[in-house]
Parts: sequence; C-alpha cells; structure tokens
Amino acid sequence: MPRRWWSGAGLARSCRPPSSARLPEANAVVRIHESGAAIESSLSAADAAGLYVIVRLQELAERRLVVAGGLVDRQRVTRSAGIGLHAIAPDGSVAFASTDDVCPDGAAAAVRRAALLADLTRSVGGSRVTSHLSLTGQGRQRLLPDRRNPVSDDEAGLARLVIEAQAHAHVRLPDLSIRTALRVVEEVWRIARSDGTDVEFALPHALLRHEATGRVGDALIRATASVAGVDATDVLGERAVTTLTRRLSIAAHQAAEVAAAPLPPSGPCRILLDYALAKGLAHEAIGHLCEADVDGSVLMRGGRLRIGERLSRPTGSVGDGPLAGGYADQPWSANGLPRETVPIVKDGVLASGLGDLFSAEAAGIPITGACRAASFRDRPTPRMTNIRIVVRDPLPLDVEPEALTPEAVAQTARHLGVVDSRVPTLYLAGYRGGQAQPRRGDFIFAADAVYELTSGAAPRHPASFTGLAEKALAAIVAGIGPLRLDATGTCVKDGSSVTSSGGSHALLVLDPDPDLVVSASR
Amino acid sequence: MTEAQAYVAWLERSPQIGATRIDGWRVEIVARDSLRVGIRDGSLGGAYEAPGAARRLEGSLVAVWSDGTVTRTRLDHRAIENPVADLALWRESAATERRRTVFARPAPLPAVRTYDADLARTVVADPSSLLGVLNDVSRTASACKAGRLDAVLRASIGQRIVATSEGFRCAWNETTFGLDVWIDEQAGASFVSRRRPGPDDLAPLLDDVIERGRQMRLDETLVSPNGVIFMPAAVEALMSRFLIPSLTGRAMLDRRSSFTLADVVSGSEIVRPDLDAIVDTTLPFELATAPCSPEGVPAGRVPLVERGCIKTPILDLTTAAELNGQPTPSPRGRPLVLLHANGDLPDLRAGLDELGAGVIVRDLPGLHTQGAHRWTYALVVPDAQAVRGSALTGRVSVRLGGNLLEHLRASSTRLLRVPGELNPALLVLDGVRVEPA
Repeated sequence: MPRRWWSGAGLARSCRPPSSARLPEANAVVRIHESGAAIESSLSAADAAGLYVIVRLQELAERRLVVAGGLVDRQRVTRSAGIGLHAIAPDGSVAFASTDDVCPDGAAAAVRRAALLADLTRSVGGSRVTSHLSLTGQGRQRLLPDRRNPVSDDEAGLARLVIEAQAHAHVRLPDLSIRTALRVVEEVWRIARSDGTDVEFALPHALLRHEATGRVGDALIRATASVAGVDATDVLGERAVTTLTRRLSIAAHQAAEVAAAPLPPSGPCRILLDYALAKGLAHEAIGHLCEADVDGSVLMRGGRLRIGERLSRPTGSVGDGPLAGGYADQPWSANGLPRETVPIVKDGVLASGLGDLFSAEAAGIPITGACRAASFRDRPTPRMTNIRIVVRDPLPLDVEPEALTPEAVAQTARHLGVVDSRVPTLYLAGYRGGQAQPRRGDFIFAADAVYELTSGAAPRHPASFTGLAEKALAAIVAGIGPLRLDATGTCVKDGSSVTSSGGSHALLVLDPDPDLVVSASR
Repeated sequence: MTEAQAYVAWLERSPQIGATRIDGWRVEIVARDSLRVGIRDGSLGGAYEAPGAARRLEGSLVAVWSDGTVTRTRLDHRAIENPVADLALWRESAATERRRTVFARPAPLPAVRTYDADLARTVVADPSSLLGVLNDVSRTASACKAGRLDAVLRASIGQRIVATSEGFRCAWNETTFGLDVWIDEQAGASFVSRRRPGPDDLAPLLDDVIERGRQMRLDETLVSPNGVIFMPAAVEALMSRFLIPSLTGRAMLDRRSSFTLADVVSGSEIVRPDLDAIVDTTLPFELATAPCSPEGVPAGRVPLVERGCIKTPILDLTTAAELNGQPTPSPRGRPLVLLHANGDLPDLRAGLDELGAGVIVRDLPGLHTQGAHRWTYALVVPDAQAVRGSALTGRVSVRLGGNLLEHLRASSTRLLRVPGELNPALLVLDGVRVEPA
C-alpha cells in the first residue's frame, strides 16, 4: 500500500491512546519479567497448533507533566501492557493478533485467533512468508540497563523542577507565555520466537519541551525548543535546562524577526540547514526511501534498492543506527534481532538499506534488524533510529553550535565563502516536521525561520522546503562544524508513531537546484 | 456485571488510600474487538498486511482526591480488572492543578446511531466475510484491468461507558468499518462508517477509484491554472489544521489562538457571511457520532461559526465553567467539522466548468508541518489531478500556496456539492498559488 508517514517535531506520541505516566521506581512499574507465563503460554499454544510465532510483549510506563504560567496544568501517569504476535503456518500463511490481557489464557487465546485467521488466509490464497525459516534461536537474553532513578521520586519535586525550568526561560522571555511539557517513558519489550529466542530490552526516553507564544504587533508568534535524553535526570539537570532556555531564546527571537518579514525569494537558492532540519532531510528524503518494505521507492528498481549507484558527491555519507543513550535508541529489533548501524549512503554511493526479516531479501539487502513498533498492537516495519548526514572534511565552525544565531551563521558563511554570489543564499532553521512520498522521492519539511544571507542575515517569512530526494542528496556540498546528533522528533508510518533522532554537522550546505524549492505563503 | 460496570461500582465506593479518598472522578472504558486485513500489491495478507485480530479493554480516569490533588491516567486491562493494584501509584503521582476539574452531571442524551448489528455479527462470528469484501475489491479491480491494488479493511465492535462521580452515566454499543483502496499508489478512496457498507456504497467508490487510477497513469503538465478544487477530505484536513485550533477556547485563554475571547464576545466576522462551521456528533453512523464525549458532554450539533461570525469557541467542561459557556460536543472521528454555505450548492461538474484549467487536490501531504496559527500553507502535492478544458485529465505534481482564512473570505470561492460526502469541495480561484513541482 502507499506508505503513509510523516514526522513531527513535537512530543513523541504513541499510537495507543494518548498516555503518560510517572516513573517511580522502574522495577516497580515495569514488570515484564513477571509476564513469562504469558510468553510460555503463547509459545505452547503455537506449538500445539503447529505454528511458528514471534511474540512481542510490551510494558510501558509513562509520566507526562505540563506546566503553564508557573503552575501544573496537567499531569498524567499511565501503565500499560500487552502482547502482539505474528503466527505463521507451516505453509507460510501468516496472521497477526494482539491482546492487552497479559495472562496465560489471554495470550493463548490470541494465538488461537491468529491461527484461525492464518487458516482463512490460506483459504483465499493469501501471501505467504518463508524468511523466518532462516532464523536461528538466540536463547534468552536480558539486556536491561542499570536502573536510572528519576530526578525525584515525588511528584511535587518533579513538578518543582519543571516549574523552575520554565521560570529559567521566562526570565529571558518575559513577554511570552510558555508551556512546558515533560514526558518520561520507561518501555520494556520482550520478544520470544518459536526458535527459542527470548530477548528482553528497554527503550527509556525523556523529553522536556518549551512552547512559547505571544504577539508581535498583529502577528501571533510561536517558538518551541526541546532537550531529550534517557530519563528525567538528563533533561532536568542544570546543563540541560540552560541549553533548553538558550534554544528557546534563539527560536523566539527568530520567530519575532520573521513574523512580518517578506517572503523568501523564489527560484534556486543555496541553502544552509541547521542540523535539526538536516536530520529532517536525512529522515524524509533518504531514510524512508531506503526502508526495505517501501517497494515503490524511487531509490528502488524492480523492488530492489539501487545498491552501488552514486547518489551524492563522494564526500557525502548517510548512516542510521542506534545511538546508545539517545532519544530513539533501539538496540534490538521488534523481531528479536540485533539492530545494526547501516551505512545507507557511503562515500556518495547507495550502499545498503534498512532491512527487516520480512522484506530485506526482496529489497536486495541484508537483514539489519531495522524493524520497530510503537505498540504491541502494531505490525513492526523497518524504521530509522538515529539517522545522520556526514560530510567528509567539514568546514570549521568558530562558534559554539548551541550559540548559532542567524547573524553568526551569516558571518560564518561569509568567512567560509559559502555565500553564493549568483543566487540567494538562505539559512533555514527550526524543524517543524516533514513528510515524504516515496514514488518520486518528493519530500517536504517546514522551517520556523528563514534568513537571506546575501547581505547580513535578513529575516524572511517561515517557509516550506520541498524537493526530490535524489536532487537533495546530490546537492549536498559541505558540512560546517561538528556533528550534532540530538535532533529529535516523532515518526509516524502507517499510523504507528515512534521516536526518531539524528542530525548532521551544525550546518549543512546544499547547492542550488531548480528542484529544491523554498516557498511560503502569506 | 461487565468489567467496566464493576470498575464504576468500585469508584462509587470512594476508594481511599490512607486517609485520602477519591472524592470526584470521571472514567471512560471501552471493550473492543477489531479485525484488520489488507491487500498489498494485489496480494491479500503477508507480514505487513496479515489478517489481524485485536482485543482490548482500556480507558481513562480522572480522579480528584479529598486533598484536592488530581490523578489523570490511562487504564489498561490489568488496571480495570484489578482497580486496587495501581491505587498507590496514582496517589503518589497526584498533583495540584491550576484549574478545578469539572465533572459532567446527568443530562438528557440524544438517541444516536452508532451500532450496526450486522457488522457486529461479522466481526464476532464471520471474519471470512470481511476477507470476502476484499476479494470482491480485488476481483473488480482485476476485471477492470486496474493497476497495482492496495487496500486495508478495518472493522470493530465495542462497548463503551462514560461515568462521573456527579451521577452521569452513559453506556452504548458501537461498531466501525473502514475501507481504504488505492490504485497504483496514486488514486485513493475511502469508506468509513459505523455501519457495514452495502453494494450501493462500494460499487461507486470502486468505479471512481479505478477510473481515476486509469486517468492518473497519464503524466500531465500544468498549463495556466486558474485555481484549485480541494475535495472534501482535503477541505476537512485544512479546517482541522487551521480552524479548529484557532477556535479552541483554551487556546484563546492561553493566547495561543489567532482569535481572542473579545472576538467571541463581539461575534467577529472571520469568514464570508454565507458560511457556517459546525460540529455535529449526532450524524447517523458517522465516526464522529456518540451519545456523549469522553468528558460526558451530550451529543449535539453546534455552530462554531454562523453566518461568517464566531458563534462559540470549542469548550471543554473546565473551560466552559471558567467562561460561563456551554461545553462543546467532541467528535470521535470524521467529520471533525462541517463547512456549510447558505443556499443550494453547485455540484462538482459546475465547479469544473468554472475552473476551466487547474488541479483537483484530494490529499495534502505535509499539512501537519504548517503553522496552524498563521493559516497559511506552502505544500507540494505529488498526486494532484489536472483539469484542462473543464475535464479531468492525468496526474500532475504541483506546489500549492495559500491562506485558508483568505480562501473562506474570497467572494470567488465556491463550495461544491459532492455526492456521498458530508463536507463540500472547495473551488478556490483567488489567492492560491499553483506551480508545477
């Protein structure tokens, strides 16, 4: 089917009903190891029915706290658990079932429902799979990190820290209303297969986000900034809060400057992307097109990835893989295979793709353990974790990347000689989400602020950056500054929403191309 | 007694931990069985579109403790079956919120149609007939020599209950059915309802999507476009992206809306005076429909914009109490909002005649990236359909730019009637930028 995906820059959302939760003690909340009886029951039921199963048990604990005007606006805690499973009959007919009744009887009933559906699939001549036959059992592996305590075990203490983080930003931006949202997630998966594999791993993550709104003249302005990490400690520590305030200050300053600014020039432009937008480019224009299940991607021919074809200058590479401690880290796949770091584009040449158990072979690539799922209710599909664009021999950046104001970008660009004398040079900042369409490689993502660098840093109206993936890859000419891989977002594919992260150098430079367009409306 | 009823009964006993008890509460619980089956590239099933069955018992709870702190939580199966298990966690995580939570009181509830017994029987006892529906789609597409076929069918049956400590009680049965069909990954069509579709529903849908798939195989070039026709799904997407967030009372209070409460009080004219924007949660068998919202606001039909002027903001119970207004029913699915114009609407044919040359847009990829508070959009639409000489032709990729508020203010903008659709199509001739992409 047409893959339906998009990504956003907001709080990660699960495709389950919206939920959040407090994390008291991780061991008290996530009880996945106690669900062994349900796993055993589903494996036994599958064995009795002659089925091969991949069972996914998920336990989730979430805490969300929203502060507005220095007071708690909303807080929510949630725990949830459930089992999803693929059941494969001996002839390869396959069915899926899920249940939130995590007890032996509930798990066995889910297997029986899947068995019935697999029979129905066979009766109507449905598709069959065989790739699971190549798997070998990996035994029991428990890969849970050391417990990381939240900043505070009491709600009031945590709320106080979020209120203080908001106050820290409010001192810098007294004229704006600020809403601050904290989300802390403890998520544990246990994947068991009929071949004896039984893997347990955790995906903890946390995000603190400010959203500032206000009026500049008649215009309503909005600016957002976030910091992410593994747990509340990572995002509520002094350093993180200082970083968040600085990010929000720059974003708010930009939002005010561009609110009533002229539209950006039309026609081809040299483009400088901040690293969050570069992550958006990597994610939308490259990563999605190299997911093995996207059989209609422009980077495929006859359903197979165009491995070996040159896509960019030899200095450019794109990779994806789990980043330990990162916001979207996932060390194991939802099918119980280790997740590999994949050089998607290596030295300008398409080298590999994101392959999962069920589609890698058809796409002509190895299985890289790339599948993810937001919920036990989802059928896992190949997804990115941390995707990054790396340019060999990046140009130096004399400014601390977190202090990159538009003026500093303009000075840097002039100093390095990357301002184009023939066409406008635009700096795009503030990622606000994107979307890709694989068939032609169309992508779109939105920037909160645009500056024309031809003479200083002249504000321009917020804009969309649209184009074709192959043209964007070919246009990458330089990276400026160190790699910054902590840009975060939410990736939605076929209705399943997972965390995403990545980045590039502090600035990424793209040459003009008629098919890469910055456009806006008033 | 169902698990949901038992849960409500437990709340009615004012559970407590230590000296603190739950004084006020609102709970929504749903028990649902659902089926999903898909076709991918002409073949039914496979790893990603495997026929699937899901069973869930879940809900949400807002609890106000006797010390005034509040717990908000999602309920999963275990929490509903064993209410006491999470009580300590909820108590520990309760917080003092800046606004007083308001709970619904008993109120008359309109009779609405949310349940199709035939569909319910199918989900529970006859999933093979759902595969049969997809097989029929596949056979029809094959007989018409359509291109690549992809489809997803979803159906569910559920029992839902909403209850509050103020004595509000509402329980009802619901069903849902959704069928999405694509030809060549370019032409798509959907049927979504709370009832099972009949032949009169699916046959025209299939005819339309197959014919459009055939048309879209031709790559067109854009020649002197006069404007755009946004089809109903795109109109609803635009309204949902821009209008609804701006009309939310809480956003107005928090200065996150482009409108203010003063605009509401004065009934500011925001769009053309012949236009209304309406929330309606009473439409028979629509996904929006339910007897009440999750908060317990009774179903109803409420104009947000009437004769071009703001009539009422969208209010939750708490904000409604703050503003001394009426809470707004909350749609549970499409349509989220209805755009109406006074008088008879011209049909799509008349719209094509007036457009002459331009594009038809059914889907707006990337709309979620556009700043809702600005009302403007600048998008690329890879699968627009070209209109030339007032006739539908092939596929064309375009860049679109415009401002929805300006579109709804322009005298040249037309609302067009589309059979089988609750929302109109929108013909926009002025203030929209259409360029080849």
